[in-house]
Amino acid sequence: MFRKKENSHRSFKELGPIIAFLSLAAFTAVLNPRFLTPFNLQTLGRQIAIFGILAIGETFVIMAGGGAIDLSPGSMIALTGVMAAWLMTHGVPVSVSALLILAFSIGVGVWHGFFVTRLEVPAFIVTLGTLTIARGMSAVITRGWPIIGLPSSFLKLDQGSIIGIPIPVWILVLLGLIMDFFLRKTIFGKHLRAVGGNETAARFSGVNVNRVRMITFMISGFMAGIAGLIVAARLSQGQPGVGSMYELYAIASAVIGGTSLTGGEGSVLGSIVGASIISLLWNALVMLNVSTYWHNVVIGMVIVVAVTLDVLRKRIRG
Amino acid sequence: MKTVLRARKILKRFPGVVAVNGVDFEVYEGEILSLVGENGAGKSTLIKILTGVLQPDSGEIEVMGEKVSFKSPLDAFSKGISVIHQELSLAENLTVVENVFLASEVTRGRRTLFSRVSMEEMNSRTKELLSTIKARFEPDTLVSKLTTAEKQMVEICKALSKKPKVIFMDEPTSALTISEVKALFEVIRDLKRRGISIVFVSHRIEEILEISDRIIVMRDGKRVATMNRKDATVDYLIKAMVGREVEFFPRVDTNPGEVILEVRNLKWRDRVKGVSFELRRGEVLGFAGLVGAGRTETMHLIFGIEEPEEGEIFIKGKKVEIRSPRDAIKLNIGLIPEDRKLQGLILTMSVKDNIVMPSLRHISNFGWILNERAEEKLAEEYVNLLKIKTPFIHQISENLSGGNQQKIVLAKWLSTNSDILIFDEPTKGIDVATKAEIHKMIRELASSGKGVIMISSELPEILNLSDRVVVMWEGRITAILDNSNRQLTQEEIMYHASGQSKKVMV
Amino acid sequence: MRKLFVFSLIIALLTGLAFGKLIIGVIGKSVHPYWSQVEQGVKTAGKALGVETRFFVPPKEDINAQLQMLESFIAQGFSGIAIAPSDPSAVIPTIKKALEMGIPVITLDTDSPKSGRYVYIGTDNYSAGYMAGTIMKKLLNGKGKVVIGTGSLTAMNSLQRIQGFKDAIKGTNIKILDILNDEEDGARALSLAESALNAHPDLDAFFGVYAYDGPAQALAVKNAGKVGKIKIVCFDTTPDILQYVKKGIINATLGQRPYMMGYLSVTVLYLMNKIGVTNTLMMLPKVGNDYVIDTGVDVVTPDNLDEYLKMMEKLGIPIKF
Repeated sequence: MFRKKENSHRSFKELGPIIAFLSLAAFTAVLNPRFLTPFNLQTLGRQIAIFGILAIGETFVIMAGGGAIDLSPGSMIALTGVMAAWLMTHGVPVSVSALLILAFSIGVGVWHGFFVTRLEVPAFIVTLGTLTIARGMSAVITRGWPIIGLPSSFLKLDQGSIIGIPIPVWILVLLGLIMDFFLRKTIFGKHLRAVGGNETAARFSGVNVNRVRMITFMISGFMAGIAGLIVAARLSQGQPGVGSMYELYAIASAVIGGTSLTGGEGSVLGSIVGASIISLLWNALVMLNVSTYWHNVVIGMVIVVAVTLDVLRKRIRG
Repeated sequence: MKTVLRARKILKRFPGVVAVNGVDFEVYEGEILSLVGENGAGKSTLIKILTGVLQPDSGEIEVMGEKVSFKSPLDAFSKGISVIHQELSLAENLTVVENVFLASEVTRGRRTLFSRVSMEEMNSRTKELLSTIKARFEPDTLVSKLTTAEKQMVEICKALSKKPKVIFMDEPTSALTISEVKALFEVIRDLKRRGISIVFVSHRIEEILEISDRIIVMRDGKRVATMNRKDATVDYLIKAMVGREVEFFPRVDTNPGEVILEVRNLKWRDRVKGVSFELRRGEVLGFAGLVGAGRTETMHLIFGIEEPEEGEIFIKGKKVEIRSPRDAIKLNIGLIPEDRKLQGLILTMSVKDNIVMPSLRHISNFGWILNERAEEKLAEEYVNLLKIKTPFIHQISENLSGGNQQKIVLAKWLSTNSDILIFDEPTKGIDVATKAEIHKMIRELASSGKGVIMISSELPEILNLSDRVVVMWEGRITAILDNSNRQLTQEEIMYHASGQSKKVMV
Repeated sequence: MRKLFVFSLIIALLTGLAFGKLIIGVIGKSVHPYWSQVEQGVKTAGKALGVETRFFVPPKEDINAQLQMLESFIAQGFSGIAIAPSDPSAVIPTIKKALEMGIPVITLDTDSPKSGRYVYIGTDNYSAGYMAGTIMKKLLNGKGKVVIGTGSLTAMNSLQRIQGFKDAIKGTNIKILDILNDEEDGARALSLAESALNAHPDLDAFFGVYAYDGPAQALAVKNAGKVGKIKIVCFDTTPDILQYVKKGIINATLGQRPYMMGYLSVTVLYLMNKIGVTNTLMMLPKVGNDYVIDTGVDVVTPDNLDEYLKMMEKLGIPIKF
């Protein structure tokens, strides 16, 4: 009976955003039936994958609380994409390049974690630094030119599909399952919620707070690296200007999905749903032929409304 | 006698519970009224309603015979109802004056958000207020530099600056030393002489009997008894609060065994100045001393919260390095911290999650995958053992009463089956019935062969539970006293706790 | 810090004086292939004329960074400065200051006519957009549906190109269905292009305003299997664009001549130092009372691609793909 209660509580939490997503999708499909064509759904899926992967990483960081946030993913997408393209066009095999890039992006996470846990620099500042540095480094590497000529086997990472579902979506599902397991079924996940809920009490309970924080930044770095590879494969090139503001979309996705900015609360499914809503907006606004001048206005308002509704819902329930 | 504040048929429901159930309440002019009851009896809710923090579902409130309805604490404040909360609500980074006049700054001319404040005026008025309550610090002192008792004085000044008719004091003594309590009582009596009524809330029966003119007892949301001081006795009062007889300070015989923990010459900053002592299996080692004597800090060094700058720790005769609470837990040490909300509990997590937190590694699969079944089993075992009142183990711990929260913290550390258990003020702010349960448990833990350390500022607790008592003063141990026959007296401990013995020795 | 700054300033001035060498500074807008071509032109001209050149771009468009660099160039007593102001009005006072101190200033790529700069060297974005529209008209035989992709709805170059394009197709049966703003994000440009294809199955053509818009549209068209059915006209000549031109997915791209802008800027400033400002201006084309050098655009199509590549190689900008 205990179990039941917890489960009903869990599924309820993401219900709001899921309903929002489905009604928005239904609304679009009714006004423009072409929304449901396989090609369009694939387009949408690819977009969801990129934001979803970033949002999962961001969720882990934010959940650790203490104002932790990762502002670097957008720029890291550009940097890792550019680096991957550089490696591949300089004869490094695709798989080796990909592994190097992922190792590098985890390394950037370690760098963030080191500053936050050992030197006690606010996460906002360290990752803001990376936001600028990574963007700058991609400009240094490319001088602004896109790096083209990527091997076609690499391009499959985005452009390929299995039983009609784009590979990035498979990656998102796989990572989502792993991360969800990590968050809900492991000691680490419980420790993460504890640190986010009350860092001092967590420490008094024997939780290695620094290690938990370190791991969250490593996850976020890793996710940015994956997204960077996907975006590079998507554009068939390493582009230094890509991904600006993605960190904010990732943060918004996480929050729409129920992640508490003060820490301790959040879910993988929720952040994927949040990312889906934002991605859907990008697509739906074109589908509905809304004037481009209004796009950002609408996206911004939807973010505010979605989060506000969630806050209100929590307050009513609480 | 004139009635200053009167409430009729106050009713307040929360989801699933009637917190205050049709309570009548009255405060007479210039009286000291104690409001007592166990945690969850509805005192806090009633006070919140009477001071404008909460609105009642029904019922009415009169101030000086005039019907009022408080929409906010500010409303109540302006009608002469002040409150001093248990958790002091001062801005630490501001000075005493700034705090006293916060949000009611004295300005030159008309008051707007941008008016210039008149510092001289506020300074002199604060000085006056401080002298009326015989406080000995300057108005321009930073609040963060003050002791808890002094901060309370600032709160009282803040209340007085509004010329209140009634001051509610919610557990004002829970963080004070004995001499500070005495000083506070002087202030309270002085306020009474000036015609201000005090509503006093405390869990310490002796204090209630000492200070009150009149006592109102609440239980289960209802007012169950009213008595004048001359009619009240300890037994009568407790029976009214708990609804049954309570056994105090159980005697469980113990036989101290081998030394399980030895500490040599621990030093840390200027808070712990060379502390050495031994703890044996089967004994309760009491730590007495004033607030700030370095007792908590010493325990934090043993538990790895801070690292000692000097000194050695031996567990079962073996020298150990403890760099973090994790290390301490691995060595089978448990610490029930003083501040349960800040250090003991993760309020946003469930009862179950809190209880299993330190034991996770042992009950998880492969050491990292959670075993929900095992967690529930462990949690339920201790919820039942400690009689934690919660509708189900997945309840968020924030929703439980203070006593039950403290029990969760206890459960958390009992479930790790530690050899060494350190209790830091285990009954602070806990109601009588729970207190007795905790006392019994501490004694039982010792008789089951564990080494128990108990820091307490309540001398009766120290005297009745400890087999030996360590007294600390300003970071040093001034005495280690035998109490195996409960022969120690309050005076003896106070003598060492105030550094008197040190002075004699030096 | 301040001392160090003054010190290095003096060193810079001294070396400048000691060798009597001209130093010409060029300030661009952002890190972008376009500006690295300008840099190429600046460097080549510097070498050819034997003058020292300094080239600066902020990482992203940033008028403040530009102003700071401009002031530091003035302080170091440069022999001439060319700038592409991100905000044409904000630079006016600083340019005036430089001119008062006798340092010749010209603008390239983007003009600031009221600053008193001597010459403007650049492309007319409006006429380039007009040319794009004219090409589109031909490609579609005067009838069809077009979606425009751009990175900004506020930047002058974007607005002028779009306006030129619109004016060129005026009076035909070509309809603009949508203008999509990707906020200078290549990945979003691709998503938008894909969404546009899904939303408008009867689409006939794309017009890409910024450098990455064309490739994004080409990729979307390729993935949708609509190569040949949908025409693409776009701007710039980055390798990926030329790749798509070669494959015939992009039908025409308009290359500005950033290399020329850089080269000419240095040359004009060099002349102003050597033969004087008035004498130099006398040799330049006069438009009304003003001096403007239009560097024009290259139209690259599948037919003339090889020719274009050869020409670029001659200029020292080999484009490989």
